Amino acid sequence: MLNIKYVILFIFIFSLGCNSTEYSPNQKFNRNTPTNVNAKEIATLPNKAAGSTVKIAVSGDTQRSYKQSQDFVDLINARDDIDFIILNGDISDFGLLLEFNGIYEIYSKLKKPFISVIGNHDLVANGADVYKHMFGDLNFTFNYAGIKFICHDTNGREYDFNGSTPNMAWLKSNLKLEAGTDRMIAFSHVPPFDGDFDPKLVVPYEDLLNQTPGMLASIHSHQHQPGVVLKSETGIPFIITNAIVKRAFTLITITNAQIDAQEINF
Amino acid sequence: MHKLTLKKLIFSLVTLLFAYPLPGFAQRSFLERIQPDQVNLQYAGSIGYFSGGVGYHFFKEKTTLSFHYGYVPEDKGGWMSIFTAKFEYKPFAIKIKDKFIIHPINPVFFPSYTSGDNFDYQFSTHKYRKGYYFWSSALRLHLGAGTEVKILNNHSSFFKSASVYAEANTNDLYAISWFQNRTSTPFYAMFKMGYGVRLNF
Repeated sequence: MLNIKYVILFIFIFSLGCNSTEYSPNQKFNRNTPTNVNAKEIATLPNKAAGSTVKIAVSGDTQRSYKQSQDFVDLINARDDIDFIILNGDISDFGLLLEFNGIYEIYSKLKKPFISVIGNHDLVANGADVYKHMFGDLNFTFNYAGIKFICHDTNGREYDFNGSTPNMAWLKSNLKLEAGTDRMIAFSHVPPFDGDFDPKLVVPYEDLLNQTPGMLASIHSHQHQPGVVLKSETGIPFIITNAIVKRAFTLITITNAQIDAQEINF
Repeated sequence: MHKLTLKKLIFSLVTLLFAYPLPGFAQRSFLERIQPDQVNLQYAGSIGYFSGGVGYHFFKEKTTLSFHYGYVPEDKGGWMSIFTAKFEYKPFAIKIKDKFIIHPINPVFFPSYTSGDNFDYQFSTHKYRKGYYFWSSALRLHLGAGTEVKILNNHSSFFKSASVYAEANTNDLYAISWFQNRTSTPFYAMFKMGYGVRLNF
């Protein structure tokens, strides 16, 4: 009879992991991985008249801070004045599917749409492929309330500062107002004055953003420091948010072509 | 990895194996000497979609050292090639008549190495300052436990026994993440399963 017990134990342990087989920690996807999350989230954005006040909760760097991410989601879900959420890069820490999945599980409980931008940590190992499979293109745009949002990859160091990132040609062709839009706002992970931004592209990038008509601001994360707004006399504001891992996000309010950034700690 | 060091290592291992037949030991041929005690086929378990390997028993079969090659095809989340060395310890053996042996819990440790352009033993020192990313993207250190049922065959047969096993494992990076979130993430969440069969000669 003792033996039967062991057999039962064995079968129990065998069946424990029925849904948790893994081919490699570096797997780009598994059969449960969601796809095209950004496009699906953008599709759920309601129609809002151009010129309406828009409130966006932005922060980056969820990395392996699941507790802080959960607290952020709870906080945002407790209020209903926010239009949507931007996760501004470094979704993962090691570029692993398990981490992207973990953050997706938490952020997908947001009552409002969330849009995810690529960060430098997300490009490690197979991370770029995990991101593409789960979220979509690294550079993409969408329109909301008469504003064109330009989300793009600025993680130059990950490409060995080879001049490819940020993709200036893509930016030039996409930094154009479309029908129904009269303003633009850019989102990317690494700010241009950071050591991880391709040094050869700092000036052309800043000039391009500063000189684009209708550009409201460029919003970044990456630095895990209290949020700042940097602005030259003639240029647009470069807003840098703190990080989810530091329990902080920035509330961006856009009213009548005016942009306001307020850091909120939780 | 340091390709030169790896090449040197392989070269010296091969030389050693061939040079070994010293007088008095010559009765066993090279092939006999490297003949494994075990062959293995595994599904999942973080070292490939499927992986195959050979193993050697030590200390009256209580410890096994095995070498595996695994692959993940593109449509399963690859392509990847993974090389693994496993150390498994079998502290308990429950014998059921002369037919079965159950090893209820076998602790296992295995480093795995993923080859490919996206993976390096160390992050390039040219691209990043020291400590920018502290881990290795190619080398994972796994820790886990298996449970195994061994079906005994006739002693005189070619295969002395066949086993089926299940194995749960985690790795260094999963453990770091779990530890940071240990009050909210359940312990089992960082373990991933694999299943396999073994044939013992």
